[in-house]
Amino acid sequence: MPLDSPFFFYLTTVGYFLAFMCYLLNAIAGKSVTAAETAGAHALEIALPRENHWGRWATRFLEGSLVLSTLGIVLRTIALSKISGWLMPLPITNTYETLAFFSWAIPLAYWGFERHYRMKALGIFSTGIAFVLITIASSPLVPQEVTPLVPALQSYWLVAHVLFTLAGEALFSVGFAAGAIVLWRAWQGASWPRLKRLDEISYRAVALGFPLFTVGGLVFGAIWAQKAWGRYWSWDPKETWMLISWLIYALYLHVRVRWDWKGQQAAWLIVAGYLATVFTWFGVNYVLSGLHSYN
Amino acid sequence: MTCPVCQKMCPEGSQFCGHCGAALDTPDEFRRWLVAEVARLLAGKNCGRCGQATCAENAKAIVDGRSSYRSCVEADPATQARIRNLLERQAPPTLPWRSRLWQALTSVRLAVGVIVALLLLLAVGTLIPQNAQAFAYIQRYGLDGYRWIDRLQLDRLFRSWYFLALLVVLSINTICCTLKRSSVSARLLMRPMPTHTPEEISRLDYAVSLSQGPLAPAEALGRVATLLEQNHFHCAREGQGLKAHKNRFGRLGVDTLHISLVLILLGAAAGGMSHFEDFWIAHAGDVYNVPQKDFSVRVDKLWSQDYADSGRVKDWYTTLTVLEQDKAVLTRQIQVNQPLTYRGTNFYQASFGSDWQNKGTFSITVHTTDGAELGPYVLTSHGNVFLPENGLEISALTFMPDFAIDEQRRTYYNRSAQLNNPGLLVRVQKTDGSSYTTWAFTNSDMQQFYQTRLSAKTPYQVRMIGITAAQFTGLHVVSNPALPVIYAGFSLLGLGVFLNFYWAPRWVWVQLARGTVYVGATGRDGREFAAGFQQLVEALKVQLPAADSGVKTEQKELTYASG
Repeated sequence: MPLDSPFFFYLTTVGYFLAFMCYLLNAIAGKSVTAAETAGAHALEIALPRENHWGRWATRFLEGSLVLSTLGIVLRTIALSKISGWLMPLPITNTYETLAFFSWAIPLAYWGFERHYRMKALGIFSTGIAFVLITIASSPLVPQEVTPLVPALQSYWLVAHVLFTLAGEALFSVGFAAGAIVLWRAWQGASWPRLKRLDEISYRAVALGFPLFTVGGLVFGAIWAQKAWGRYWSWDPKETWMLISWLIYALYLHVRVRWDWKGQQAAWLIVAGYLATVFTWFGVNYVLSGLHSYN
Repeated sequence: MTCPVCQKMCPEGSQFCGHCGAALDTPDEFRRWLVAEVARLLAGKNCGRCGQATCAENAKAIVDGRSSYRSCVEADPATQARIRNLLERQAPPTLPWRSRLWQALTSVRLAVGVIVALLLLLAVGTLIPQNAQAFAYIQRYGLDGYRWIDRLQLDRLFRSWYFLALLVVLSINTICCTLKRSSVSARLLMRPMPTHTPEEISRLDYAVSLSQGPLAPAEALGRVATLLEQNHFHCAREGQGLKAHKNRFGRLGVDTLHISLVLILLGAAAGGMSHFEDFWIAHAGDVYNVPQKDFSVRVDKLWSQDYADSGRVKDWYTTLTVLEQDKAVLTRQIQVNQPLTYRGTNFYQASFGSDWQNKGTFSITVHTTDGAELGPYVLTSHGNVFLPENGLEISALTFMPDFAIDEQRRTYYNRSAQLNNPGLLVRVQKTDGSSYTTWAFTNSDMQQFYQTRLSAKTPYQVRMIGITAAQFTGLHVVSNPALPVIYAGFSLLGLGVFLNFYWAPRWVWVQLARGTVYVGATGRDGREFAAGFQQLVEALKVQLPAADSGVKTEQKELTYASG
C-alpha cells in the first residue's frame, strides 16, 4: 500500500475507534467510582473525575490518531497542489476531503478543551464522530481520488472561507457534545452543580467558535461569492442554512448573556444550532440543490 | 437586577456590577421618580423641622432610608401612608408611551422574536424552491397549493413584503439597541476606573484577601503590579492600592457587531435599489455597451484551458478591452474568480462553451429511399440550404448536444451540455410546400435506431457527418454602487466578533490595609473571568511569601434572576 493520504486516514479509523472505546470505558469506570461514593460528593470531585488508566490510554490514542490525521491532511494538500498547479489549496474540495478534514478538526478542537478543562466525558462524542466520519470516507461509497479544482474553487477566499467555517464548526461540535451531555444528565435527573461545568464548556466552545464561524461563513463566504459569481449573497440554500445556523447561535448568545439561560434551555439551542450546521454542511447537498453543489 | 450604567443583568443583591464595576443601588431612573413623587407629597415649606435643610433633601433621605416616612411634621396620616406605599413599590408605574416604545424597541425580547420568525421563514424559503415557474409549483403542490403559494408570496419569499418588514424591524431594533448601548460604552471608556475601598473590593464578583506577609507595603504592591503587567494589564498605582484593566475596547465589540449588521442590511437595501445585473453571451469581436455608462467592452480573445493529465477544465479566460469613445483604454485578461472592474462595473467569467444554438456549423448528407447519397451540404444554426435538383429546402431547427428519449412521456430532451449524442432537428421542405421534420445524428447506430423505431418512413433521411461551433464566453456583468458599504459592514463584523469574543475586558482592584492584600476583579461577563482570576490568585500566592497562612478565598456562587 502506498504511503499516501488515504493510507494514513485508514490508520486513523483504527486509532479513533480505540480512543472511542477507551473514552467509553473511562466514562463507565468513572461512573462506578462516583456511584460508589456517597451522595455527599462535592462539585469539585465531579468536575475533576478521578482519572483511571482507560482515560490515559484514550488520550494517548487520540493524540496518536491526531498525528496520523495531520500527516494525512498534509499529504493530501501536497497531492492536491501538485495536480492543480496551485499553491496551498486546502483538501476540502469534495466529500472525501471534507469528511477527512472534519475527522481531523473535530477531535483536534476537543483535544484543546480536554487539556484546558481536564474533562474527558466529551471525548466519547468527538472520537466517536471522527471514527464515523473517517469510516464513511474510507468506505467504497466515497470516491477517494484527488481531483483537480474546478475553476470556481481556485481562490484564496475559498481557502479562508472553508478553513474558518470548519474551524468554527469543529468548536461547535465540542459545544454540541457538552450540550447533549447536559440534556442527557438532566434527563437522568442530575442536579445543577453537576451540570455547571459542562454548561460552561458548552458556552466557551460556542463563544470561541462563533467568531470563526461568522468570519469564515458570512464574511469570507460573501467576499468569495462576490469575486466568483458577482453576488455576495444569493439566497442559495446553503447560504440560507448557514444563516439559519448563525442566527440560532446568535439567539443562544443573546438569551445566555442577557436572559441568563443556562443548563437545559441553553443546551437545546446549542443542539439545534449544531443540527442546523450539520444540515448546512451535509444535508443541503443531498436534500436541496443550489450553487454550492461541489460534492 | 439591572446595572444602571451598562444595563446588564447582575446577580440579585450584589453591590457592584459584574460587568462594568459600577456601584449598584436603586436603579437611577426609578429612584429619581420616587424622589420626585415623595417630594410632591411633602408640604414644600422647607421648614427644616424634619432635620433636613429642604423638603427636596428630605425626599431623597426618605427614599434612601436615612429619614422616616413620618419625618415630615406637616404630613397628615393619609399622606404618610401614601409615602409608605410609594416606598414599598418595586417598580415605577406605567411609563409614558414614548418610554415604553423605546423599551420595546431596545428589548432583547423583540430581537429574539424577530430572529425566531426569521429562522422559520428562512427554513420555509429553502424547502419551497424560489423563483420557479408557475407550472413547476403546480406540478409539485397542485393547483390549490400553488394558489396559496402565490397568495402568501412563498415562491418569492426573500422579496416578500413580510420578510422585508421583518428585516426592517430587525434593523430598527439593532439601531436602537446600539444607540442605547454605545452611549453607555462610550461613557464607560471615558470614565476613569472608580476607586474602591478594601471593603468594597471584597464584595466584588471575584475577591480574595491575602496576607501581606513580611514584605513592605511598597514591595508587595510592586510585586502585584509586576504580575498584573505580565498578564498584560494596564496598572495605575493610587495610594495604598492599584487599579488595573485590560482589553478595555472589548466593550465596543457588541456595538461594532451591531453597527456592522445594520450597515450590511442598509447596503443590501441600497444595492437592491441601485444594482445592475446582466448576463452576456459573447463571441470574439462582440462589443457590449454598458447601460448608463459611456463606455463599452469588447471581447478580444476567449479560450479554455484543461488540466494536463485529467482533461478536466482548469480555467476559462477572456481578454477584454474597454473602449471609451471607440478608443481602447484598457485591456485585461479575466478568468473565474478574477473579474475586470472598470468604473464600478464588474465583468465576471461565469461560463464557457461552444455556441451550438446560435453559432453552429453542421455538415449533412441527404439520403434518398433508393440509397443515393446527396451532399455533403453545410448548414448553420437557424440557416438553410437548397437542393435545386431535388426541389428541396433543408433548414436547421434545434440542436441537442446530448439527445435523449424520455420513455415515459415519449418525448425527446437534451440530457446535458456535453457532446455525447448530438442531434439536429431539421425541416425538409419540398417545392410543392409539403414539409416534415426529422432528426439527424452523427452516431450511425443512433441514426439507424431513429429511422427504424422512432420515425415514420420519410422520402429523405438526413445524416450529420460533421459539427463545429464557435465558442462563447459567458460573462456576468454586475455593478453595485452599494458594495463599499457592504464591505465596510463585513470588515466591522469581523472586528466586532473579534473584540467581543477574544478581547474580553477585565478590571482588577488591589488595596493594602491592615497587613492584608485585598484583590477584587470584575469581567464583562461574570463567569468568563473565573478561571483567569483563579490563575492570577495562584500566581499571587507565589509572589507573596507566607501568604498561604492567611488565605481567605471568597468565590461567590452567582445567582442570577432574569429580568
